[in-house]
Formats: sequence, structure tokens, C-alpha cells
Amino acid sequence: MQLSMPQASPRMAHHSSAVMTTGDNPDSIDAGAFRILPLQPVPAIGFRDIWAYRELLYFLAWRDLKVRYHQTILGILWAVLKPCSMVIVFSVFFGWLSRMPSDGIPYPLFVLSALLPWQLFAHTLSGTSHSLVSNQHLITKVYFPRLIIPISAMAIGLADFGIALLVLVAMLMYYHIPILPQILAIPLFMLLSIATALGVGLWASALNIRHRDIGHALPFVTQLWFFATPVAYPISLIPASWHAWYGINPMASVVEGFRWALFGTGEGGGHMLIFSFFISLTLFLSGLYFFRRTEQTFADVA
Amino acid sequence: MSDVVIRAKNIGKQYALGDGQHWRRTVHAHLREAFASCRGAEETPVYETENKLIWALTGVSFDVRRGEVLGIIGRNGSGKSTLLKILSRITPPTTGWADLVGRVGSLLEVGTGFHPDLTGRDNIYMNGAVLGMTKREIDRQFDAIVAFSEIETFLDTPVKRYSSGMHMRLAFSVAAHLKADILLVDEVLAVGDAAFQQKCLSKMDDVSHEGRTVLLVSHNIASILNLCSTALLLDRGEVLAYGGVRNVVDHYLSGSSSVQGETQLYPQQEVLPSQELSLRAIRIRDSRDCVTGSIDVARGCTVEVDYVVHREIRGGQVSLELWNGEGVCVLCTTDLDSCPESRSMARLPGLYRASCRLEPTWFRAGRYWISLGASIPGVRVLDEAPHAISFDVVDTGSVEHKLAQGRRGIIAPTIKWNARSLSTVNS
Repeated sequence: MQLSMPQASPRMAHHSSAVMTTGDNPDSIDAGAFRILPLQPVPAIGFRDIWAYRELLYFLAWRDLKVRYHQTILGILWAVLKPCSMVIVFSVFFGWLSRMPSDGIPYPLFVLSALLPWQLFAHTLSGTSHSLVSNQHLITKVYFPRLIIPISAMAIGLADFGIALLVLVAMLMYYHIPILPQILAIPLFMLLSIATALGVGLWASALNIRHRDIGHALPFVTQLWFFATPVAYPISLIPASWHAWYGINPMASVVEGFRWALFGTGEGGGHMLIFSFFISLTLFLSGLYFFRRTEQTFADVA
Repeated sequence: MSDVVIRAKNIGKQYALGDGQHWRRTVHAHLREAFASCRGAEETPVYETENKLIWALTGVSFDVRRGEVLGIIGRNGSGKSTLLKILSRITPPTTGWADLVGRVGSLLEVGTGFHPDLTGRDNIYMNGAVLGMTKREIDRQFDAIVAFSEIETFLDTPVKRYSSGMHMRLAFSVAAHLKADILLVDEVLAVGDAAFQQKCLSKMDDVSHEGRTVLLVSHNIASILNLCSTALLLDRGEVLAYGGVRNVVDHYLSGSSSVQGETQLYPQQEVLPSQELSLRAIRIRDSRDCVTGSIDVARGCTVEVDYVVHREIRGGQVSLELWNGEGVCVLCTTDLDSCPESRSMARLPGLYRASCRLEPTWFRAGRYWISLGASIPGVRVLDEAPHAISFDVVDTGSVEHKLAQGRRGIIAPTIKWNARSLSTVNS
């Protein structure tokens, strides 16, 4: 016999892996009930659950952005000042003092075009990897799809990217750089950068909540990664036969891709990009799997 | 089939004791070993053994019908909060399952998701979203939430500038307006001033009258009796009693739970040969001389301590400390207080029974602990029994104590007042 219960809300009807509908269970009290079960070995991604909680995702991102430059005098100007000051420092030390080659592009523009995707990557990575620990008070007190937390932590990286993009546009106009048709490929390289950052970030955040060592090691790893990426130097310094192997670092492809899309230098694709694409995809999918696999115990280990 | 909206079957939860970081210690052990072998020294390898596992809950089963308000009671560590966390989907059970029908709202804490830098207004949205409300729902209830919290003027001030009372009122107001078919509530009423608490209690009462199902975890027996129709008594992770609230509360108070009114402190053989005095037992007797773990706030009780003197001692004293549920020491008293001249008196070997009366008007309702000690003051400690016993002082609703409950202070004595007229004013 069916119960005349109020319609379960969508977010309860579609739920994460630990819960499944109980229509075929003899003990079930109602076909629409959701069931809490012990640890499930192979989780689904749970897109519908995330979709049901999209407003929380929005509020968490909004909170991060709102609090970001809270109680500062310069406020949002910081998002402009940071890339500008880095461009100045790099231009002075590498461009002017060390006479670093820059494939014929004015050095400040050369470095900013790479800093942009790099900062997107670095902010996303540090944001997501610390997100679970800094939100553990939520994890131990309320249920929601845990993926919401690292996803919402990407907001800051994206916002800063948007602002820095304005600086880049201003500089492109200053140097009278013509706009090329391949500029349309920029979103794809952004996506590659985000997927890599999120992939590593999901691994790091899920590990970090259990072993805080990750949080200590990551800034160091990111620094190394920065030097392994052709931000301050052109990839033409590296022997051409190694370029494909350089694709092991997806950020190298992203940076090269950005320069190709903006200035038409290099090839912007080829073996290196294909290599990077698969590395990035692997990182992302394995990160997602590991995160979903361990998220049920986050509240116990936090 | 009936109106069951929550069914829990055989729920168990296992936790690993320790910090769960045996890896780290293993790494340390290996490093130390490697270092020792470099120096050529012999060192016993230290390998971390498996973390010890404990069951926080075992075999918990129950059904809750729609509109029922189920109280969950039990001592600290009996698994109440773990049960609520499982039902809230924060942590998965180790065994068993639970079905829930309808939208679940869990209030394990008020103000979850509050950010100190955000304004009151922003935090209402933030907290609401964390509790699972949609923006539209919050918009609709916004005015009611603000009115309930009484903080209109500070709505655009960051909450870090709020007093703790305002902070808590705002947090509870959002929680109180959460629309859910099933509410899981953990101890949130234990905060705030008495007037606001009363307001919250009546709001909770409204909730249950609206046909919503509530699971309430509380130490406050008075509010359990007030709000709940049925109750579940947990003890060391197991269901000890389940049924009508009155019966379960009686069961809890009458000593079949761990609050037994008597604690045996030492088995005979554990006394060290050098020990001069050992504390043996402590018990609480009510006004009718029955051993009990719960005391009527209007009647008071007697504390009885058994101790054995093994060798003759001089200048010894037996003392007790009374601690309340917030961890505040209410008072400390010793058996020498009333007759200081006996300080020099010798205590000959033998079994002693000391008792003292605790006056009823001192107490506020709640859980109390007694720690025992025996010492020669300023010389040495003879024996100690921290947290030797706990007991509940229960508010039975006598008029004068109802009055006293709204006041501040860790004790609520009835003090005699006098007033006399000094002059008269001619109008």
C-alpha cells in the first residue's frame, strides 16, 4: 500500500551513492524513501545530486568572493595589482637584466600571456586542495554532495583570471598586437588548465583532510611546477625533439597554447597537446574517482 | 502499512581509537630504526599496531511515525550524536541501514556556515543554503527570520561584531525556519538566555504540531519530557529502553542506566601495599534514604563515602568536589570542615563510612559529578577518585524552583530577604 506522503523534494530523491531507492526492498517503508547504507565500494559521480545543490554551490562561491578582499583598502584592485607587479618583477629580472629571449614578443606581454593561465591553475589548485580542510566545520555538521566544496573553491581563480584578462587586453592594445582567429581556442586551453588543477586538487583535498602533510608540500610542488612550465622562458630554449615529452606537464601545453592563440608563435598543438590532454584527463578522472571513493569518511577523519 | 517515516534497522558504527595516523608513527619508527642501525646501535623496532576499534553504536533499530517527536537520551558517549550523524548522512553506518521518507533537515549545530566577515543578512542566506533551503525559500521567510531573531538593527553589520547572544539568536532563527518533513536536532537548545530558550522551545512545539517528525537529542530531561512523545535511551551504543517518554525517562533516572547512584571504586586486590587509605565506594541517597542517581531539586540528598584506613594516619581528610555539567566546580568540602579540632586525631585502621548532606536549595537542575579525594593537607595525597560518580538533579516543577531556573548563577539558593520602611512619602 502506498503512503500518502508529501512529495520528497528533488534533492532527496536524487542522492549520492550511499543511498539508493528502496522500491524493491521488502522492509522498505515507502517507495520514495531514501536509504542510508554502509560504505559503498564504487561510487557514481552524482551529477544530479550536485545539480540539486547548485544553490549551495553558488552561495559558497559567493561567500569566498565576498570575503576575499574584505576589510582591504584597495579591494578588487588587488586582483589587478598582483599580475601587474609580477609582470614588472619578471620583466626587470628576466627580460631586462638576463635578456631572456621571448620569441619576438615584447617581454612583459610574453610573460603576462603565460602568467594568466598559470595563475588560473595555481589559484584553482591551492583553492581546491585546501577547501575541505577549511570547510571541515561544514563537513562534520551537514550533509551535501562533498564535490560542491572543491568546485566552489574554483571561483576565486576564475574571478582573478577574469580581472587579469582585462589587464592583458589593455596591454595587447598598448602594443598594437593584431587579434588572430585562433584566439577562439583560448577557452579550450583554459579548460585544460582547470581540468588539470581540479584533477590534482581533488586528489590533494581528499588526501589533505586525512594527512595534512599535503597542505605543507603543495606550495613547494607548485613552485617546482612553475619552473617546469615555460612561463618566464620560451619553450624554444628546450630542444625541439623534447617538446612532445614536455607535454607530460599539461601546463606547458596550456601556456604554449595561449601564446599561439594570442601571437601565433609555436604550433599550439601537435603531439605535445595530445599528450597533455590525456594526462590531464587521467588526472581529472582519477581525482574524481578517488574523491568520491573517500568522501564518505571525510567527516570521520577531518 | 502505517505512517512510518523513519526506519532504522540494526545500525552499528565502528570507530578507530587514536588519531588514525599510524602511518606517521610507522614512518617515525622506521626512521628511528634506520638511524639507530647507522650508529650501529641496537634498538628494538617500534611498529605501530593496528588502531583499536570500538563500536560507538550496535544493533540500533527503531521506527518513527509521522508527526512523532522522539527524544534520544543517554550519558555522554552513549552514541546519541553518532546516531544523529548517521541519519543526517554525515557519516555512513558500519552495519545496518535506515530509510527516511521526505525532506530531512539536520540541526547538529546552529549557525553552521556562518562566516564572521559576512553581515547578518548575508549569513542568513549562507546558513539557510547550508541547511538545504533554496534561495526562494529564504527570501520568503527572510522577514520572519529577522523578526524572530530580534536583530533588525544589526542586519548589515558583520557577525563578528555581534555579541554571542545575538549571534546565537540569529543562528537559531534561521534553523527554526527550516522547512523539513523530518528534523534531526542535537542539543541546540542548550544555548542562549532563558527567555530566548523559552521562545525556541515553543517554536519547537509548533514544529511538532505541524505534523513534522522530530528527533531530538538532549541532556535536558525537562525539555525532553516537555516536547517528546516517545524516547530512546542509549547506553554504550545500545538501545536500553524505547517507548513512551515517561517510561524511558524513568528508566534513565531510576538507575538502570549508568547513573546508578552508587560507584564501587576499587576491587580489594588493587590496593598498593604502601597505601594508607583507599576510597572504596560512593553513593547518593535521596531524602527517603534510597540509593539513586537522580535527585529531586526540591529535596536534596546525602553523599555517602566508604573508605578503608590500612595504617594509622594523623591529619588526614576526605574531601569531595561537586562539579556541574558545564565543568564548573560548584563547591568543595572536607570532613574536617565542621570539626577542625579533629585534625590532629588519629584514624585507626578499619572501614569507615562518612556522609554529608547537600542542601536542595543550592542546586539548579542538571547533571553533576563528584570527585573524591583523600589527603593529608599540604603533605601528600592518599587516594583520589576523579569523577567518581554522577547524578542528575531533576526539576520536578515546584514553583519556587521554576522561578529560580530563569536566573543566572551556578547555584540557586533561597535566601531570606528583609524589607522595612525607612520613611513614607506624602503625596
